[in-house]
Amino acid sequence: MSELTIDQMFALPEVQENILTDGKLICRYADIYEFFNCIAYLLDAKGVHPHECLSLECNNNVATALLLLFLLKTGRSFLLLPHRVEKGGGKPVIPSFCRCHIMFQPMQAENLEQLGSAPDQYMSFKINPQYRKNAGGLQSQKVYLRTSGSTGSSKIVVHSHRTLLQNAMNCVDRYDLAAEDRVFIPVPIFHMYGFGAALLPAVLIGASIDLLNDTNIIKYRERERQFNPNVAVLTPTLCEMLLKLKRKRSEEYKYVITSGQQIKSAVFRQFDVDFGPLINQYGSTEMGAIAGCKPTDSIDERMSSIGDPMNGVELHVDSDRFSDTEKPNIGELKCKHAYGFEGYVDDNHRWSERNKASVWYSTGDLAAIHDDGKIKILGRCDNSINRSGFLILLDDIESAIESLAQVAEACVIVSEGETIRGRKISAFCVLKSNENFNPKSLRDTCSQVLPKYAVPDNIFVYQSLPVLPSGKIDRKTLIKKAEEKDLAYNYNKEEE
Amino acid sequence: MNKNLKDQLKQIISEELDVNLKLNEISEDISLFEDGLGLDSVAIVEFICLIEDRYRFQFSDEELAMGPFKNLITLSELIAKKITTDIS
Repeated sequence: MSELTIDQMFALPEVQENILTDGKLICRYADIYEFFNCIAYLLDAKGVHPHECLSLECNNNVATALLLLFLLKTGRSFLLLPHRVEKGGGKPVIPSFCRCHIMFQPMQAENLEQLGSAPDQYMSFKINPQYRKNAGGLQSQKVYLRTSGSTGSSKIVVHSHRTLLQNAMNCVDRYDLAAEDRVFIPVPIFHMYGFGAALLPAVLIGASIDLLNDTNIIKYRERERQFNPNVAVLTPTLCEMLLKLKRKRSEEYKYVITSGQQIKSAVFRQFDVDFGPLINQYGSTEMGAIAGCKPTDSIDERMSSIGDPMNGVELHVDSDRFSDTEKPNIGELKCKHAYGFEGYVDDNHRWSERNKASVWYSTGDLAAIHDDGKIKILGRCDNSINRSGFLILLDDIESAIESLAQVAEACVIVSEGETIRGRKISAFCVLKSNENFNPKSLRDTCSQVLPKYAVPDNIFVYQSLPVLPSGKIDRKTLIKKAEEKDLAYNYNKEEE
Repeated sequence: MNKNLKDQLKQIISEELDVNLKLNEISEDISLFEDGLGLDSVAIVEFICLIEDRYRFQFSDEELAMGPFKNLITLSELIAKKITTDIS
């Protein structure tokens, strides 16, 4: 098999009129090389050496996409960062091994000629003051991504161009993506999901692409009407909001990919009816796409399993850590990925961890393996504990508490201390409006929907739960709060 | 009527949406989204549902666009038009 290249489809007659657009600018595949020439000239003029690593603040627009494709085509190394990354202050996010930092300005160009003739009007260059020449081991043909840091401090993940493209080709094959497809990408392309599982697969097959920046539901619906996509790559929240708007499309999607947290089964089913087949892809920044169902799989299969592993991937449910529980088919999901990441580096490009395709990689996800070999993700391993000999998933307790009429939202954490049943668990609840807080009755009601060993030891009520920039609940803050309030404000069984 | 409508919309945002915005923090001429009031998709969908319930109409698909949803001025203009059309 010949090696994949990002431009493998650019010259084919059938894709020449297919486009990349961001709603303002339209670039035909036929015109891409012309822009590559402009970008090559610009980088040269700015003194950017082909062997140095660039850091890029990515917008979901045509200019960013073309630069990314150019860097892949020419084998250059680059780090993907969100737009306005430095605005928040704090620790510098541009590592010392990147000399040149590129930012994209709001797009003034109204047509392709303007974009090509004056690229420095929308791209600005800055030299990284922390840059250190000869940072250890810097190589060409690498892509660096920062993890979100929601489960610890942010790390720099290293991928090679070759494995990244193979990973993207896996998505093309699994979902049967075709050149005639119109792919809508409202998720950010500085993430592995938007870049590796949406943009790259679409470019590799020569499909038309619409990139949506700063996505909100109104923009989404507006551009959906204009671009008329048949494939979309979304977040679970966007899927849910599309449903809540209660406006069907005249045409179904060929398929919609989502990734991340589990989607409630009622939402999943309704989405399938209103919009077309939904696929919950399983993957990570480190491994890219790991597994996914096919659009033609039954809805029950797509809801209950992550689907078959992608080409070059082996999966294994390791139940060793959970052997003292009553569920032998549950354990941590581990994977070997032929096209996974190379490892983590620090800000000076020193390797802090190397990944080998032949060694099992711990995903940190808790999974169940069904009798037919299909795998279902249950949650994070960190979100599961053993109490009274039973394996308890915090996600399950949350779902049970949220099923109570009084509760709008719940988050359950493991807090410091032990009870007779094992480690202490606390629930943070947001009540529905007009519900009076009554900790005892709330805890008693929990007993109706949960086995005794799973009823939280403490229940706290909040107006709203703290969230991280990613939108996920900030569990670390809740753990701290639980510790602070443990003695001052709780209801626990020993006090009865 | 429009002024009244704008005030009502401000009240909905500050009292009924989970966005932590006080009435006096809501300007009618700034964007509803990230570059202004900061309503995310969850809040906007909630806002749309509350408006549709309150004024008893449904936005058409074409009306769910960034033009009408630019700020509270443009949105109240659209709502006023829809209420009038519905009455007539």
